[in-house]
Amino acid sequence: MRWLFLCLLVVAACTSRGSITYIPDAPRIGFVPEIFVGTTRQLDPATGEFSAGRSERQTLARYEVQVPPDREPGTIRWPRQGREPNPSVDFLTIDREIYQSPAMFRADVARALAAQPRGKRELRVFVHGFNTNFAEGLYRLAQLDDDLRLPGVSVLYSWPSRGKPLAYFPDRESAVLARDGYEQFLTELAGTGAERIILIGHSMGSVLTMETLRQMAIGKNRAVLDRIGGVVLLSPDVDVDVFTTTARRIGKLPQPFFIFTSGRDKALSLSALLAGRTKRLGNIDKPEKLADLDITVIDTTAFSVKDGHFNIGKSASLIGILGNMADIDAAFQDDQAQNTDLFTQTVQQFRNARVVTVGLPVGKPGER
Amino acid sequence: MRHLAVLFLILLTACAERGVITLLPEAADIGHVRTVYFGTTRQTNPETGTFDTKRLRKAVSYGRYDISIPPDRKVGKIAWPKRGAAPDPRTDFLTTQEDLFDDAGAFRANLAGALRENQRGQRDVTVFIHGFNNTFAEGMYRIAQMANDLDLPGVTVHYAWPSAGNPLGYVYDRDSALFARDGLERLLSEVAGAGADRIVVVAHSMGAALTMETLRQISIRGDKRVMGRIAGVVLISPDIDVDVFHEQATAIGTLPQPFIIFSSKRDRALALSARLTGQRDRLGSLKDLSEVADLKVTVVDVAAFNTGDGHFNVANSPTLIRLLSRITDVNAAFDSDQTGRTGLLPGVVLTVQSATQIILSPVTTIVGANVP
Repeated sequence: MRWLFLCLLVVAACTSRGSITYIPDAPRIGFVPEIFVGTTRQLDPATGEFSAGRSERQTLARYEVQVPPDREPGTIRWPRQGREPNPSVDFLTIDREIYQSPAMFRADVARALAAQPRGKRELRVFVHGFNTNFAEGLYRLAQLDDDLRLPGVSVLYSWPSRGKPLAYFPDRESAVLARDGYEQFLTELAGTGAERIILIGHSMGSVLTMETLRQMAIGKNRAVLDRIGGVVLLSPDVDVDVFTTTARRIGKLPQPFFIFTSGRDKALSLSALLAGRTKRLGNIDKPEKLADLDITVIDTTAFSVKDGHFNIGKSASLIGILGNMADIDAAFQDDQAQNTDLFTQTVQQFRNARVVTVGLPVGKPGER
Repeated sequence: MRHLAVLFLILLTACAERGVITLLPEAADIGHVRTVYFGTTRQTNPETGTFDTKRLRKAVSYGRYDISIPPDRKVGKIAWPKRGAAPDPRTDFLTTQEDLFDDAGAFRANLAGALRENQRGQRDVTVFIHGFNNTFAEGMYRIAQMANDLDLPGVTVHYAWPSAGNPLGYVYDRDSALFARDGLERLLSEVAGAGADRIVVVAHSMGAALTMETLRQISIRGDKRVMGRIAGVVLISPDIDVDVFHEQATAIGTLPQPFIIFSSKRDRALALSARLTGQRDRLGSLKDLSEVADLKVTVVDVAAFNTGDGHFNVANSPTLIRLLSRITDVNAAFDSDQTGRTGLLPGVVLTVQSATQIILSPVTTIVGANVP
């Protein structure tokens, strides 16, 4: 079994990786989210792209990515190598800007927030996971922005993942290393007049999110903590004991606090295997271990796509469900099991923790 | 082929028998008894009553063991009672008394009593933090042996964090070290609260990572009471990414002084760890001092360290003087725990990392830079 994983890894190592294709004069035919970026990646002067190198200095930037009109939800298409990019099917970067000062960055974020109606002036900060290069993290967020069309302003925090499937351990170090930079970045964001900041961490990005919350709680960084209006961990690659002890140290967890899990997450099965265990937080099978924490676990096993490690990003049905909820939080407020024509939902309560299992209604074909 | 050999080595060593506590009060008449206080975030195994590899999630357990060091033994070696035979106090390490405290308050009171045997101003505590691949018993006996052989002044305290005690448990131990930060912070706080004038922190391999994380959070919390008592930090073969060490040291701000890093030329364990975690050097095997040049630390190659030449002008702590004057023995003691079980990596990772092709060049000798 473990050799199978290894083969998967080796195969994955050979697939080509995403990179930025910058065409400022591309025809404007798709949805173009504006994404604000903080990163501790090194800027490669030769290519103008952010690399996998660790930088001591934080760079603040802004990107506009055009999501092509012809595509399935949950998918990203990169321009084919050696061919002319096609704006109707390929993701393209059409504008980018590196800020010379934090004040200029804050001013631009404030401008974007002011364009939102009052009450919706929130920042969604996405932290990508393991094995993700800069372009991949950015385009994934653009894709989610198009698929979910959530209100507020979209923000990416890009830490120097090597973007290599074999670089699990260096990535763990880099995720931990990024804590102080991320706290500093969130402090900048708190100074933009945002009504709320929502933290979203995928996979190893959850480690960075939790570590940063923890140190802000220890250091009493109320200016930021008081603005956190919710936390979403997607397939978190975190040891369960480390998570519970971290959550306890944070104390009062920001609310709502969602953890999206999948029992069929192959990537997490591998990292659990490395740790000599069977489960990580993102594929936890005994949620009662989390019972004294004020959290909501959302089990998306029924919507597993491919390796099951990013269902919310890749499953068209799940995206449909979430996209159809005017307010995700409100939809989960109701403790009763509810069934709509879109999805089924069962809720179990373990003291403070809630587990919501979402599924497809009977008779509706599921996804692979 | 080489990897296959390493893999076999690991599998073999994985089966090697591990140390367990044997209680024999009569041993006190024969051996030399050394008291070791401890705080632990290991769970008590309800069947055996011993501290095992599972993580204690809610609090820290405190206790003290009196450990008998046998008169007939090889220096630096720990002899465990033979299985099936009666324990022999002349040759075996044995525990003569174990006290488990109900809570932190009882621990603090007992520790304070021990500290009061020394004059005010001379109440030294050495806190040891063990490394990767240790059981509770191994850590306790190793520290008793060291304290005894070094004739270490003051009180000896051990922080037993939940290492899997398994050469294949590198990742489990890394997670445990993160898990164990709050426990070490509490233990240090109790030691300060018991009236220690000076706390010397000595940490080995992954225990050094745990120590740095803990000092970092104490500093972020702004706890001057504990920080102000730390009269020296000694990291032996620390298993920390150099960049991460930098981040931790920056967050700590003013590093407790002296701050000494003992590296080793022949640190095979760290070479493996560096391969596993990427091409960056691990702190314990720095090849270029410029990596830490801006920090107030002293990096010393253990092999090149010459005792008694007074080049450590650091000594208001007799404990620290003693430790440093015998650092070669301290290093040897920790090292001997790793001999024969250098295997750091699960088999899967071994194969994975071999594909990354990272080779650590030999460590250059660095002596006495940045001596405060």
